[in-house]
Amino acid sequence: MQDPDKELVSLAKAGSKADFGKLVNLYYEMVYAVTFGVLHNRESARDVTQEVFLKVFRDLHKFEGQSKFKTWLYRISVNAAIDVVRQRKPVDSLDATDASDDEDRAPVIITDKSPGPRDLSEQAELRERLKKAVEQLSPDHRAVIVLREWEELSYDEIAETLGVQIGTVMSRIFYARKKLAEILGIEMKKENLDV
Amino acid sequence: MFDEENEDLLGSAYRNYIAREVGRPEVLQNKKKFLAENFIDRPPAFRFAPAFVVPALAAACVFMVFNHLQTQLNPVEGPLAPIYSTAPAAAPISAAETGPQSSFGESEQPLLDNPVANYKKPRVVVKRVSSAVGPTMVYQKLYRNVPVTVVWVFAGGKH
Repeated sequence: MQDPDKELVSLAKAGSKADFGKLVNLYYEMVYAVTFGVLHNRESARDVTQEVFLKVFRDLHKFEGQSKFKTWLYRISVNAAIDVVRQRKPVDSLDATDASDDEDRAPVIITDKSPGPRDLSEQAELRERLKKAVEQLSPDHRAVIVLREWEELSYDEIAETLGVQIGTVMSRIFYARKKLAEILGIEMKKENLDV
Repeated sequence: MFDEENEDLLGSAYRNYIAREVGRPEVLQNKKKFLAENFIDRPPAFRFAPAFVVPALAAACVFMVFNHLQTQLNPVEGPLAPIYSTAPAAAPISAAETGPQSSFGESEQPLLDNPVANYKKPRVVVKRVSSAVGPTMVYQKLYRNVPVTVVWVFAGGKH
């Protein structure tokens, strides 16, 4: 496994702030997207993003290079954001529905309760509905959705990042999508499961 | 996970939502500020460079414009001639300085009888002016308590 950031990480480990600055420059938006995806609050996402980089620079000596730097950064970002959400207020977790016996369940049909996204001429309205939908997800589900949909990580990479089983990742993604689809009025059929 | 079209729809809506957030100019500004405050090595001398460079450049510009205009308005042609000057002659001591001070309430009229006060300068007719020091002569003198620079230019050079 070749880490493209290996050289910059080595220089930063040696104390070069400028080289760590190059890593910040590379990954700031990525970390912000992940933290915003979990927190759904601009100020908090900005603060957590910057705290993550300061913490990473401080703890860089702990990074042994067994995973890619980017994966390590993902893990710290997601954990920091989830910690903030949990400190902020309790959120009804969807983990209770993360049962591994998905295959024993009946097909899930979500019928349209409101006009579908195709009918929404206003992008702003769709964004607002999506925002409200995401806010109803637990931090863990928000994390998998942002890693999957925005960062386009594979299930393996998400599992490595979050330190969970790949089955858990698949289950969380399924239920997060289901919840979003339900709120957005998208019909979803379990027969088409493609995980 | 669910039908491909809806999956794409949901994914696309979510990506647009995050892209719009990440693409906000404030995010880039925050990043630049954070980098500048924490992870850019700059020598201390340059840290406040903008505070000094701008006024210095402004002053240099003003000087250059002023210098240019001065050169345009006062062109110096030919070799510079030396300017000689002489010290102004000492002003004669007036009677008011040497005479007795009049006391309070005493008229100064009697001073008119003073031979010094009645002294009349002989009429002087200047027929020819010459300079022993060069073609020009510059000096300063007080005229009604205002310093005045007097420049004599002797046509035809030194006489």
